[in-house]
Amino acid sequence: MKNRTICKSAVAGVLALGLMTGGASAFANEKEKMEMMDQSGMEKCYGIAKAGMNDCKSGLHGCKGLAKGNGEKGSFLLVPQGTCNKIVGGSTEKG
Amino acid sequence: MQQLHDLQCKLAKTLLDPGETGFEQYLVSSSPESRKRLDVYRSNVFGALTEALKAAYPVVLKLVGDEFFEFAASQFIRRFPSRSGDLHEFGREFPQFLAEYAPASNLPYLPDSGSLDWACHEVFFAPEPVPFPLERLGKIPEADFHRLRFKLSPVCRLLSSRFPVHRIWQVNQAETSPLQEVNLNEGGVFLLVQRTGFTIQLIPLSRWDWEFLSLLDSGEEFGGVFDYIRKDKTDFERSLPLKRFISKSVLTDFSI
Amino acid sequence: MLKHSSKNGKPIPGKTGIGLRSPHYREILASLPAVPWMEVHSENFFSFGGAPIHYLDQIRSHYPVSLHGVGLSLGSADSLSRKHLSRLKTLVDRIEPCLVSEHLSWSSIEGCFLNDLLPMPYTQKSLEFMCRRVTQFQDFLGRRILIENVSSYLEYKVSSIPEWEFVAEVSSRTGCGILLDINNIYVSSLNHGFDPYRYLQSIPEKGVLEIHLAGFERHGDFWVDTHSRPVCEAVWDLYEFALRRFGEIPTLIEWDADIPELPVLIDEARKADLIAQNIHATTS
Repeated sequence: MKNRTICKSAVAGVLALGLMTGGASAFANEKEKMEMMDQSGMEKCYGIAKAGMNDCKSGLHGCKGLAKGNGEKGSFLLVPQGTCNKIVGGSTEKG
Repeated sequence: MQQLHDLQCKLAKTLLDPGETGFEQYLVSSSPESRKRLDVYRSNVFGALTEALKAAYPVVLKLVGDEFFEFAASQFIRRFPSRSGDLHEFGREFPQFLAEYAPASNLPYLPDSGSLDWACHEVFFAPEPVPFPLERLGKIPEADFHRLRFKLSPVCRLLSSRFPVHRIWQVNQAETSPLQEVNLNEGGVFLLVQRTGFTIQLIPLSRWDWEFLSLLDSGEEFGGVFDYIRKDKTDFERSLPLKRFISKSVLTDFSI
Repeated sequence: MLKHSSKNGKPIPGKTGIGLRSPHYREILASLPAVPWMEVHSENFFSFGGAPIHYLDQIRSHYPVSLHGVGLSLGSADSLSRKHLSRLKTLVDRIEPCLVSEHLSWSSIEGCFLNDLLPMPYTQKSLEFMCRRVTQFQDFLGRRILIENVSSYLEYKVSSIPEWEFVAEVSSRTGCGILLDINNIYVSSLNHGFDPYRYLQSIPEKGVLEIHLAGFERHGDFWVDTHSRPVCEAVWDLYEFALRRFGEIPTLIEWDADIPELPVLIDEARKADLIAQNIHATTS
């Protein structure tokens, strides 16, 4: 019924972890790296990198984003010009 | 305060639509000057919302560049206006918008890259979980184990894509790998996004691990999860991920 | 949760503080500069996760902190957002701020947020409405709040009360304090052609509990409150006038864009302190 053997084994394994490491607080140990997961160097330390967006200043943003209509074909507003040129291969069809 | 309500509705409408001229009659200044005064506010509104969107979608911004992003943002702001006084909550629907935005149609990976950006954004602000309540788990009778519902950590998100969005993310991080190009033929990925301290990690998962966590995140009872996954493995092998994900603080709570 | 020092509850000194911004977090914690207090935008700390709240907690353990809100939309015809109020109260309970402030403005209607500070029409009806809102806000938080005058670029035909009178009346009827932004007064005076000294003279002597100073930029035909420059000479003159009228008032240097190095910000604060000291020296 409802995979009871697996559930029993799984929860027993979790509870045994507590006995070995002295309590749930051990699970917050940042020094433990994820051996069973592939990190592939994909980490970003945000730290303070993200500034708070809420403030009470006014901006001098101009009206770049307020262009009306769809623009002309080939208009710079409608043609991506960034690191998309580093993304190659695959199909350009939408999924 | 019906008059106040009407005045505010009309001004909000006019600020979101530069073509709207009906509000100028409510202003002290004369017509050409009124338009300029309203344009100062339009610039503030669109500027602040666009800056917030750029901050929430840094990889999408790098992929498409400032001009393209700002124009797309101006369309997005009208279609999905901000619903909160906290700008960090603005922009959730941007990936959905990008999926329907014709000028982005030749970048089929863009919506999923956006979804990854938003996952990182949410995880950045998410509250730290308390350690897993082992003692409380120890009090649950064995007969009820199958009814447990395990919870994904608030600083974790799950994402899947048919594109290698983790590589696309990686190539747009100035500080990291020398990766210079991403080939979409590499195929898709199942990702766990997790914040540890101040560091956000993107962890590719096996399909089996991703499905396990997704089912739990959707509220599935623990016993029920095993009806769906890896029936070719032994019971012992199938029992292992729970311990692994709790010890890695990916699952941080449970209910019954 | 971090235990805070007993800076809660004591009035902050009538000295000049600085806006606390993310580029300066680490340097402030490393050097603990002699700044009497700091101010943050409340909404940036609504989410108790990761770096932002960590740094705020750490800095709060060394300095009094004021919470300055920008997103409550007090003057909107919509009801006040219970969610926004609750998130602010949770932050107030955690940080124990020396001051809590918001704006005399609105930024949303029918749930659509513009995330800018739009001026109210100044009529008897909207005055009564704003007083009800401020009272509701103060009752919810269980404390006095401060209301800040905003910079504005338009005037409504329907307005029948000068802004300075509106501000003074809201304060006198509700008991809320006034956060007088002198840069906003100056920018608005240029955009609308009134005398900024008249504004200051019309604000009651008691009632101003905080002053903001900031920089602005000219943009076409208008002056825009960008918080991106040092305080200009004309605003320093207005500030001196204000201190002579209102006494020693806690003052904050606001600098939100093109944020300078920390010593530059602290220097601006020292300039304000010098003005206050000179007044004290000549009047004592």
